[in-house]
Amino acid sequence: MNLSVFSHRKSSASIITALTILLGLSLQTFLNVTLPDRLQDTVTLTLGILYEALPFVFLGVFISVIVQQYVPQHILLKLLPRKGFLRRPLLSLCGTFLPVCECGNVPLARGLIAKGLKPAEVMTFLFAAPIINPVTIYTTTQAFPADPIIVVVRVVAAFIIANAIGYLFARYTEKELLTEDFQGYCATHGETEEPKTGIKKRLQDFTSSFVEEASLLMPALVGGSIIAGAIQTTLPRNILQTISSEPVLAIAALIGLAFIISICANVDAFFALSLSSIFPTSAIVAFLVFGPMIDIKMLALLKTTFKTQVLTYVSLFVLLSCFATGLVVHYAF
Amino acid sequence: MPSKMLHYATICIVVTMLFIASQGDLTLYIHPRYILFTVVSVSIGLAIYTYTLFSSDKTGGKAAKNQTTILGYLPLLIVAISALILSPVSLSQLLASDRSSESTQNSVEKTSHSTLDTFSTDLTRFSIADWNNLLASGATQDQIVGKQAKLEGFLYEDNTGQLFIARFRLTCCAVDATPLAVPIVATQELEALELGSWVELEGDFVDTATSSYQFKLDVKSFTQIEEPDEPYIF
Repeated sequence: MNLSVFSHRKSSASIITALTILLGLSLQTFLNVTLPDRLQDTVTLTLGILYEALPFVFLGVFISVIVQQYVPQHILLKLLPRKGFLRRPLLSLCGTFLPVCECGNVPLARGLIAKGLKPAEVMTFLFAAPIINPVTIYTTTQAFPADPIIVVVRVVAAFIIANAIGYLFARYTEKELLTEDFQGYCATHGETEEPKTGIKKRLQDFTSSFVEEASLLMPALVGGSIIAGAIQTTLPRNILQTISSEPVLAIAALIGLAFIISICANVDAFFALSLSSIFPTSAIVAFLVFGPMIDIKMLALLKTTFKTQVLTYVSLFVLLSCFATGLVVHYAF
Repeated sequence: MPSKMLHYATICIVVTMLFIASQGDLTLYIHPRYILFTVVSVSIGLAIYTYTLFSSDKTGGKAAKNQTTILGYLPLLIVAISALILSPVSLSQLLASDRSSESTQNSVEKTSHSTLDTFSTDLTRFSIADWNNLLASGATQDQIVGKQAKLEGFLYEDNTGQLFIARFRLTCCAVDATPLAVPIVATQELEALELGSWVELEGDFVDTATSSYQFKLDVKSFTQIEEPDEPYIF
């Protein structure tokens, strides 16, 4: 295609976008357009999830691109132990230095896999980091100052479950675990080919990689937000209260709520606090361990990287593990 | 072309976020503690998207092929247009009604009052959060009955038809909004108001022994008010 034609089309599209934004914001400001209550609530909840997660996704993509472009593969691999059984626990503790919520960890995990780490190793980081990080630990402590057991069990369970997932999937190859699209992505985004010259070229490479990675995640993030938002307005929560007195049902109910609500791990403890007067500690713990690992929004994001079958097995494993954790808390404490 | 559309749709969402943040309306979606981080993060994102759009070198030829079809982008386009056109509004009384059972499960910080206040008759300084807390804590008849209250909030009914005055409380984003509600004795004048209306109520608490809500606010006077700039409690 002729370069001038391409440039002309790009300018036209940019002008149309700018005019659309101007028109849309004018409508929003001057006409006060709203929908019927139920539909408007769905939109507000969807946008609430999206607006809360998008900054974290951008931050995760930013760190991911830095890792991909500026951390040489041999240095990254040298910093980590060679043996998988030592490397996985270490990776699962990396959230301590990267206090990004679960949405931001997905692009970073993709970057680490593209950089040569095994998917199973990165899974331990992916599932442990949202819980084993200073912000989550701090907020959980603040929310439950009188129940230190909740914080301890949350962190220990996250560490054990994440490492168990890493161990279970360590025997599988990248081909068996990753989507074909992402395998193609890894093939083109692995080791930096040649030293880049010039600040402009480096900047262009960085920004284009950022946009490319963010654009891969955006449809998944938005899709997950729509589903989570829509379920919030269609599924009555009143039924939760009726089953809260039965421990097994209470654990199941709060795991289900954690899956649907897709709340950020950094602050989910405050939400759990509002449920603590009616639900037992065992159910609260199950909620706090399951939510950061698996929820609708997270699954939509993970679908960009892992095969559906893998995500099904992981989800089932996390579900059963969290259920078991809840039962242990119920009978032991 | 679809991938370009995706870029433009993302830019629309990010510009809308920055616009509503500048209008002070982002708190209708997320907790205020996130505003600064959100504005900084999406501003950097917008700068990168805009730079990439106008820089001559695109992906350096190493981009993986994006297999997503136009149908895959449709939800993003719909959300981008909705975000752009629809005015930010607070959650409705219908959602409060759906989540009514959670209103008695809240444990919130006391606001402006002191413990000594609970020995006074005039508790008009108590907010909805304070009253919700007190009622949920299993307070006794002596602590509640006869106490005067002055509350601001919107009206909603739960599935049993009980009327409440409430405000939503947010811990993270709109998705975890929980109504902090106080049951009220319905009067003809109050029932004539549309559910969702914002009101300022004055009255005192009575013991309705036969009801599922033992203590209710018996409204002596009320005024219909505009929704406040910050309708949620954080």
